[in-house]
Amino acid sequence: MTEAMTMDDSAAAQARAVAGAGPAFLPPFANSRLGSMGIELELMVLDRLTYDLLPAAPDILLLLDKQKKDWVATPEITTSMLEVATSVLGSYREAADQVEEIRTSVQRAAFAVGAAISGGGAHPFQKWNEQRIYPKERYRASAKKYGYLAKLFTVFGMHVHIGMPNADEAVRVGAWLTQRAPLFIALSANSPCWQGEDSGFCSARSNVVGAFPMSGIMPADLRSWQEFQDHFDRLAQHGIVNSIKDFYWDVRPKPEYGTIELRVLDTPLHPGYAAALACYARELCIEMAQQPGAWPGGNARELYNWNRFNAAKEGVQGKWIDPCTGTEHGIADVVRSDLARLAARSDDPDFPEACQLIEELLRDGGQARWLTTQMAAGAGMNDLARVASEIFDRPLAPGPGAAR
Amino acid sequence: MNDTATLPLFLFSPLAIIGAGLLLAQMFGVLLQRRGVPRLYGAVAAGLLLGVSGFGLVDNALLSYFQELLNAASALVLFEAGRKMDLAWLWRSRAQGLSLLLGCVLRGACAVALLVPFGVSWSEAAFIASILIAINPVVFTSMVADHNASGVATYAAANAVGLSQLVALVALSVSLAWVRSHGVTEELPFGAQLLHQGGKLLLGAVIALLCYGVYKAASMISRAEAGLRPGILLATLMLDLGLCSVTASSALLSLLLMGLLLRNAEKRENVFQAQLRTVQDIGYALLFMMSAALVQFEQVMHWSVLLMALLLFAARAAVTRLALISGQAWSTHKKNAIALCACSLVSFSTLVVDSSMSNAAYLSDTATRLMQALLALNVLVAPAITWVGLRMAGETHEGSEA
Repeated sequence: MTEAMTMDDSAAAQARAVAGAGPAFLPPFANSRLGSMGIELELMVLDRLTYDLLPAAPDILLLLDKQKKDWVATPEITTSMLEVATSVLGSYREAADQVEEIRTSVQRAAFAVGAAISGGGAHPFQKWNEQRIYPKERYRASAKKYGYLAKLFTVFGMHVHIGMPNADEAVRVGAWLTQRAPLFIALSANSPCWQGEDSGFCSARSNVVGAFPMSGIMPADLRSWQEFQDHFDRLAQHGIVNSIKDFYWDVRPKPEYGTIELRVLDTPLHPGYAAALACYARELCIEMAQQPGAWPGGNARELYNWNRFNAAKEGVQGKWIDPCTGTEHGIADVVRSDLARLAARSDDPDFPEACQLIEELLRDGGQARWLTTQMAAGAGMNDLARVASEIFDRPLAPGPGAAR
Repeated sequence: MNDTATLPLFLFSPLAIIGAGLLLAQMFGVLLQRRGVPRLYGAVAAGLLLGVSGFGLVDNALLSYFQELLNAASALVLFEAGRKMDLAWLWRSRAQGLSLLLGCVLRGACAVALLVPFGVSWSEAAFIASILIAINPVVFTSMVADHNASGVATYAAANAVGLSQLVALVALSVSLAWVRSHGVTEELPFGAQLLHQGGKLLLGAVIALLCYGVYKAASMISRAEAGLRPGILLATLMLDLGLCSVTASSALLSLLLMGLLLRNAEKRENVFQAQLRTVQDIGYALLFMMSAALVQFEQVMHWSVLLMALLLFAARAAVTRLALISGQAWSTHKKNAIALCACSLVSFSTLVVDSSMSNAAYLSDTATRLMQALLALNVLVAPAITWVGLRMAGETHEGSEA
């Protein structure tokens, strides 16, 4: 028996821990290339008549399984959710091309079985109690563990993975990225309605995650991978966590991939925006990684929560208090300033194109307002879901208002 | 004092009898549901108890009081069937749409192939086969609504229901023209009959277009928001039914087309339809009446007729499944489920809503007995098979939690 755990052993132990069928397990951090990235999108599967959620994800997955592809499609906790994940990407162009391939493939497969697909962070009028848990042991276990929260978690997020060269850097850069996570909440906010009502928030989805016991942010006093491991072990001893997946943090390390994972975004209405936002996060991480040893200041949890609340409530029209300086800025201004700085130093030749798309997300109040404008014009909840689905259906043409 | 004076007063009111029947249907339904039997069987049980197989309180004579109401109810069910037809999907999905169409053709063909050797004449076989193309929308939609079913198989079967009605109505107009000109009661020559039957369909279609135009105009003039449109829609549906009634045109086709237009012609702002719930309660009433008037055990007990009816019933489901082989988007499991969901069949009177043709007087005794046995079987077993199909697909709400 060798001392070193093989990759297969580690994956198996991780799978058992995630399924709750084995002891708590935290895999070793798999170092990866700084700036590599991956995107996960949780998509809505909709009925083509009513635009209510349709439990057809298993059928769509069967069709997607037959397709040769670099990306993967997997189930999520309820049967009207479909998760897609890109392969490891290295630039905006790669990301944009692959998410477009994903969009057309998923749309085609969904249409074949009579369904429609949509982006968006929360379905405007679905009823949580009508959702169905995906027929898989892991999800049934989650449903048992979390009760109604499992079905309530029929929300649709986008996760961005950014490759980190080592575990300690993942903890450090993760702390930096956490501070800017509210900007991504604002940029992606597109879930103004919840359970058939206008929530008054731009991202109602953001409030749902907070119900889980391990939600929030990584404790600011963790300054190395060893400290993170100790933290995990302490919680595991109490049976609070069993795997990294039990942390519902806004930014968390993902050791098996060698990445940090930004988890706060509503799934954009169009996958093209997902590629742009992922590149924004990637460039921020590269910039932070190139300032070795620097840690963010102003880590008060209340300040983060306030920024988070503001971003979810007001979207791109909200305010953000810079934790390092304590000064308040408009979110749109901060984003524009970031993009200008990052574009000047980025070695990705297509990053300016990503910046243009993000600029589009800042227009007219952002995605949430694009939808609420429809409501103001007399559209019902079903229409809101339809409009979102129609945005997903179209290829993203360049230019202002192209997705709308 | 005469005999009638001793009877309870409510027995003289057809409305009270139907009301009592529906009450029983609901009560039986709840009781059966607690024992794991689909609630819809409450309507079947109540119909058996009060109908011609039971106390005989509800029969065709009594139902004739409500003929126009029944016609309207049947047409509304067809409206719902039309509303579930997604033409864009049927056309652009190619293999899936074609397989559902092929199912219609095969159901008709297999019926002819089985009926002729049984001693039914070609013209009668074609006539019955036309009816057997159709899948019963009452059974399917009521079962779907009762069990909150949704998913790929439910969606495909709903499209199959609508498509089968459309194909059956067209096939029936031809076969009816043939059987009327060559059958037991020779009336006008075939050409004239075809014009007559086709004219009913055509007129029904024209009325649908007209009423749809009225609905669109009313919505536009009033600038009614989505939530306010169901009222306008209901009014135009009544207008459609009324016009079909006075012109003796096909109300079923007309309402089916109204549903079809509403679902498919309106690109935007059509999704207020999600709020429409037209069928669930109508379904209970219709199934109760079908059970009361159509199930006659003495017909079912004739062994050769029963055997033939069973064979036809099974063959319909089998050929529907066969046709689904060409559908590429469904798993084997789902294809089996769709075939089971499409097992139910319709009666002549619920397919052709026209007061002048409320019964199939054109058939020989053999064919009539066979149809009666088929319809009895349909009421007794089709809801259960449909239910099994929905559960097999894993698309009933409670099924997912099992």
